[in-house]
Amino acid sequence: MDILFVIGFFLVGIFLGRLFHTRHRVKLASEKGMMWAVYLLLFLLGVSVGNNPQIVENFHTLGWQAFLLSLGSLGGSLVLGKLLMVLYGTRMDLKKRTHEK
Amino acid sequence: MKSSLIILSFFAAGIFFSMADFLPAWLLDEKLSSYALYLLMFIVGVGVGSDKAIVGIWRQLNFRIILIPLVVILGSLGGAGLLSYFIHQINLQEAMAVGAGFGYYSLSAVIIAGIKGQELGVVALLANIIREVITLVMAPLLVRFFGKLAVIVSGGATAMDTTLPVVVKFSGKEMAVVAIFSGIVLSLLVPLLVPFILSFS
Repeated sequence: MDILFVIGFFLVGIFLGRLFHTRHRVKLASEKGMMWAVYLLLFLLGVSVGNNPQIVENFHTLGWQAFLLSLGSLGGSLVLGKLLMVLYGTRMDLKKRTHEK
Repeated sequence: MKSSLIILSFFAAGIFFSMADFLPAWLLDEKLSSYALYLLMFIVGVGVGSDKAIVGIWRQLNFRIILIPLVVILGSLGGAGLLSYFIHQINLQEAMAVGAGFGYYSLSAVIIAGIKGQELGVVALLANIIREVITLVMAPLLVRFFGKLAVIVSGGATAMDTTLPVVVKFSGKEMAVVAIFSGIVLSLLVPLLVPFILSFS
């Protein structure tokens, strides 16, 4: 149920943002607001982590899991990226393509 | 880099204050985090909706350029998913959600923590920080072994800001436009893709 709210608020935000996109202040306020909301949430995440002895004790295990997952993401992206280069070579340049339209 | 330190210091401050027992109990209420997450998602949405540049980006699209963020999406989700086979505490879905952070650790970590709990949130935070750090530190090696696109795809969402300097330095100035494009598309997808992946139960 939580997840519906998460996506729902995002979509409502996009809709309202579109509605008021001519007002420059809306864009500025959203950038500032997002920054502070992220700070607040990371602080709260820190608070609950610090209060959870299980996480504090298992921090190195979580670190290893994170390390493996990041290697996976990196490896996958790099291998497919290399494949893209092999297929298209140097033609991946945006500038060369835009004047073809 | 400076903003990364600020972001992390908020996380560190949270840990420090709660371990030192400095904080009132109501800060620990999970509802508070949920509401803050809703607020964040709303604000991110307003930012996306009101951004005129985003509309401009869609006009620039051509088939080959879309392939770059697509490669990052498939590679990150696939690669993380594959390695989840070796981590018995984390299932395929959770691994793919962590991979879908694309290096955007602050946003992906708080979304994942809000939906799946703090433990996976911490994993997402660390995994995506590691992604950024490896990209920054290993950039020359990555370019040598994986070609010009390497830093752009390994940087993921960060290719538009924090890892852009190493893209310019090691892949060349002409790749900057591609890096920014790919980074923006991926950054936009994080708040959409992460909840989407976690919505399958």
